[in-house]
Amino acid sequence: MAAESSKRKQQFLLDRTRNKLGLTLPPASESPSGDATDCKPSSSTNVESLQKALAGLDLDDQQRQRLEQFLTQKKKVRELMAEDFQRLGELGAGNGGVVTKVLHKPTGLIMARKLIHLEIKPAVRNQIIRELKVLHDCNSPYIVGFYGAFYSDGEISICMEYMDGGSLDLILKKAGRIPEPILGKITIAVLKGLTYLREKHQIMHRDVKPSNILVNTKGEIKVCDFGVSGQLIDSMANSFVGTRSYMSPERLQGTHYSVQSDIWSMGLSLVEMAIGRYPIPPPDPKDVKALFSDDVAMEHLNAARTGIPLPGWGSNTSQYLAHTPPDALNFGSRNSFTLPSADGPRPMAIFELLDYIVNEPPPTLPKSAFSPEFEEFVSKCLQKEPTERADLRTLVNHPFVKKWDEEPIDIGNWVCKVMDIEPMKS
Amino acid sequence: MLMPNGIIKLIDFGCAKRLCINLSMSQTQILKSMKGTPYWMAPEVVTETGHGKKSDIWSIGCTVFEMATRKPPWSEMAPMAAIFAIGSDKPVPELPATFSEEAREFVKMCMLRDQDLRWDASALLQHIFITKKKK
Repeated sequence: MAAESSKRKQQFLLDRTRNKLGLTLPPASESPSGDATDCKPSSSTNVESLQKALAGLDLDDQQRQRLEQFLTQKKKVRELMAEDFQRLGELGAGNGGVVTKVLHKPTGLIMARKLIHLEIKPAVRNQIIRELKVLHDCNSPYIVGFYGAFYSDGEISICMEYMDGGSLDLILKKAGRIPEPILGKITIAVLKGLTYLREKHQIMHRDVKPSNILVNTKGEIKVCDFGVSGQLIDSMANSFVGTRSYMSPERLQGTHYSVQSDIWSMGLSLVEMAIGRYPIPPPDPKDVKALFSDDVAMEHLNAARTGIPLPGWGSNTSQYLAHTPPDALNFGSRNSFTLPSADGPRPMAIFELLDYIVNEPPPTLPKSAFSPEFEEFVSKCLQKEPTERADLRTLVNHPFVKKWDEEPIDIGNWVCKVMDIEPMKS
Repeated sequence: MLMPNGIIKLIDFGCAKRLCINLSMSQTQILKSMKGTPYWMAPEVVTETGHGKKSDIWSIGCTVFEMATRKPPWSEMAPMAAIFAIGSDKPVPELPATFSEEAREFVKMCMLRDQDLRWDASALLQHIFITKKKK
């Protein structure tokens, strides 16, 4: 018991050194049995308290209805067990795990199941399952829903709402580039998601990037994979490293960072989705210019309506080889990447890339390819000095956000067109 | 690996991996490719400027550091931040003053950023940290 409390204290101190604002990870709720199965939190057993929680959010009627529907369906789920799942297909790999689309047979619900292989002691994995329970209380139109987590056969399973449009990194591959009106809506959703996590749960995301922003054919945009379990973060630190990074300069340089770090990651993700490639090192302006048509505003509006891909980075562009492979891959599997031929340019080594982020000017949007509001918004996010970077509250009121908030854009239709899928029946 | 009879042996070195990569990649690509977890990596491994025999020496230093303090150097940082710290010219962590001067110096000699200055295996075997217990 004493050991446990001193460990807690250590964890707390660790969190303190990692973020200046003292945003801590929520304390693990103590389970008397120490059992690794996932029981329902008290807050979702009671309809009234649930409605109260939803009332505290600024929801429109459709959002409230959808959240209530999700929570009603979730109530049918008793205890999640490995045997109850039927695998329907793979959704993606990365972030230290594999995500599959599954059918939960007892309820008939389709879920996304993330499997994280970890060689850890039972006490540690129980702690992770306990800490993940906070996700039961993360109910927002901008946060991917959570069904539960359990441990089985060497793997932690995290069962989440299935988003049929997939993640924005996959969408980006199909779309070439993402048009500004869609990016406007994505920005609003991410800002609201981050604000929700901060205000209702006092947590920061820690891993904002295109692959952690999901969309569906209903037109919803939600964030996932935020750092809710300190133990899970620590346990995974030893297993995976990506081949690119969305981390802010201050976070790369040490242990002190705050919510401002998420803003940088969002800004970098927006530039990537806008130009169609990871922005570091910056592409040759000539190559960027060639991508955009003369009437960019029209081009973007059309693409947002029709889902027709915007010209992206083909293999004929000289900068193509600098485009690093998909992020969050296990170093061990790196051998399978197509490496450039001996005389071609070599992709930037990960250290070079980090060094660029820390020591070179921050990435920007190409001139006159986007609205001035968007250019300014991104430059406010990509300030290397965290105190000069705009904060959440300022960004929510930025003209770029205001502009696209008022604009009716059918995200669901765009997702269907780009991904060539039909809207989901439900 | 610590065997029940008290004998310690090295296991799991990367020669098999090297062999199979060899079929599809040139020698320089193998030596420049980076894999695994960053905390035990030498600066030249992290910066992918080609690693050599002395890179293993750096990792020995990190391992002694880990056995002494439970965690390898820079473990308080996220892996990406650790990669940056190892590859940049920041000061290298040292064992705390609670450890003997010999142990601290041994780790320091393993973890010199300059490969030419970094001690090699035979020099380290003569280090007082290794030799003093024999008497």
